[in-house]
Amino acid sequence: MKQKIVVTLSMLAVLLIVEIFLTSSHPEKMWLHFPGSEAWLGALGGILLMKIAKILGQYWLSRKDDYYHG
Amino acid sequence: MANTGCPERMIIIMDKLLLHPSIPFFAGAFLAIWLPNHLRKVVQLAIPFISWFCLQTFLNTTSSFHLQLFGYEFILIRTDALSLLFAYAFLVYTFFANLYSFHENEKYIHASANIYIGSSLGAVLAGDLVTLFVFWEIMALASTVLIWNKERSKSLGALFRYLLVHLAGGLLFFAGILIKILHHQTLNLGPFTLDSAGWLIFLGFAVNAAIVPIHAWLADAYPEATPAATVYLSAFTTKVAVYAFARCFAGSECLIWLGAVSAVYGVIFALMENDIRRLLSYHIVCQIGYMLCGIGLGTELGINAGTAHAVGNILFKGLLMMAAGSILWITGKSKLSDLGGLAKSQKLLLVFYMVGAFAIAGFPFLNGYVSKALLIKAVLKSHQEWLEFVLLWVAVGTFLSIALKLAYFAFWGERSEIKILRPVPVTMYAGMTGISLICLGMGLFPDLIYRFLPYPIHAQVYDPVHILHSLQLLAGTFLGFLFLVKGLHTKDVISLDLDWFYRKGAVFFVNQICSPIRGIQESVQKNLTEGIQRLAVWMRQIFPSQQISAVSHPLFMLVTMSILVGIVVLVSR
Repeated sequence: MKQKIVVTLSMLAVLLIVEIFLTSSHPEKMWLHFPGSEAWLGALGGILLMKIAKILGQYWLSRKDDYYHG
Repeated sequence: MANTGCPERMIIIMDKLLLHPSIPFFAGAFLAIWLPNHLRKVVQLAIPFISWFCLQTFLNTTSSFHLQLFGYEFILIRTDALSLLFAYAFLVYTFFANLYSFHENEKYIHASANIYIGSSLGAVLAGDLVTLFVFWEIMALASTVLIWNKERSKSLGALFRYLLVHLAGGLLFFAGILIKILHHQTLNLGPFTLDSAGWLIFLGFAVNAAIVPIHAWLADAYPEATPAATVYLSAFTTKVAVYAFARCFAGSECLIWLGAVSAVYGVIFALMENDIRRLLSYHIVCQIGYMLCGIGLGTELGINAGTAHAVGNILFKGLLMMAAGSILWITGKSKLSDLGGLAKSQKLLLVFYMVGAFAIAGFPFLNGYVSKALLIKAVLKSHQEWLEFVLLWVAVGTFLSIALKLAYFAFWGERSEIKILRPVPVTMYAGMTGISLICLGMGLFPDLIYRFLPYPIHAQVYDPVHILHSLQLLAGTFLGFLFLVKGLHTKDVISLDLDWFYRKGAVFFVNQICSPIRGIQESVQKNLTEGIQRLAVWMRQIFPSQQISAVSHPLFMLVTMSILVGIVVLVSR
């Protein structure tokens, strides 16, 4: 797992360096002022979605598989 | 549609009617029942080509498909860029879906699929509301049959719920048409205002499009069907509704809100799901949200993006359903909690699944990337930054649930020993190969889809910055997944959705309402039973036992009942 994380982080670092050279200093989107903003959105947005789904499932919506037929 | 004032007569010119692209499908439905197995399967493969030929022949002639009936003129076919885009997408997809379901030996699946596809085609080619409604309802009935799965007893309940929801949607649609007729408004398909009739028609469309909060029928019904039937179901009903929205309600702002809510709702429920086909069904709801956002923007680029995503979705969602169906076919299991370790033995299946997963996630060089990039451009042009943020967030969830969660637990996961019951048939692979190549082709050469879009388009989606941002988004999501994957476990559970209200809540409600009535009913039943018992005792005292048995003989009772019913019918007349 650690190896996969290191590889992904390296990939992201490369993408970040490329971004610095490619993007303009006046990006059209507000959040693109931060370097690697889309990567942040991916990581944090993904974690947030997983947490929301887990909390909704665990405390409210999950039922046994035979709930409607038991 | 206009009242022509002609005497009530029906003009049907057979050579014209035979050219309607739906006719080969309807004829194929009858043939599917009568033909022997092998011949039927060959015919199935030929039908999309015959239908394509009919459509091309129609396009090359100047004839029109107008039918005069009851003083009204119905437009059976109206071909413009929007309807042709959907018609072509349906025909291409049908060929590969038929190839995928080549192994299917159940005649009723092929017969009902043909009627379903034929009516879907008729719906997207219809020029007026009545014609659209007729095909719409045939589509609902045929798809109901497709949901029936002999091997799953639960499918019958899902089938009835599906039918009831769609009949309710059809009634709303019909009520809208009636109001339009009463107000002498045009029934020709075109942009409608959201007056009383418009809202009813809108709601009728919304039921078929599975927009939140009237979406639960989809995740309830589609996973119950056979793998082959689900491949058909995933492509048509919702996309016909998207077409109808694009045709009649493009630019309605409420579509943007409903689309955004559906997209977020669908992706969260997909993340909660354990059943792979239910998970993918929630992603249909989610992706419909994308399409509606584009259509709701109402700009040329927005409508192009929404319809391009609909066409892309037919393909990559079909591919994902095919892969999920193949998993069910080879293992007999569809729950992530029962699956795992398939990557070792099913490498080819993994490749096809990942093509679909990356396409839906918007990975560069696949068709999902093109339509999502167009949509983001349309959103930015309309200055709806909040919507862009929501759509990107949903893209993160899509990649997370389909390409990471589902793939991880089905192909790798905790369980490494999974029994393979039978191999994937070659024709299933052939169907998936075809769709994968189209997804790749449309991703590499966006002009393949651009030329069929409703409005001219010159958007450049492959600019380095956009590719870079897409890769960052996906890599960031992967990183987030890696951090949380150890804590992820699958459990044999279901998630309650809004169908709870009519599956449990309504039962509870009816029980509460009926409890006083039930007391009266039980009292009447008890008194009636006692009365009949007393009558029987009295009869036995009067008549000897042999005569009683003669009177209670079934044949005697049948004849007596028939005479009594006859008398009642005669008297009532």
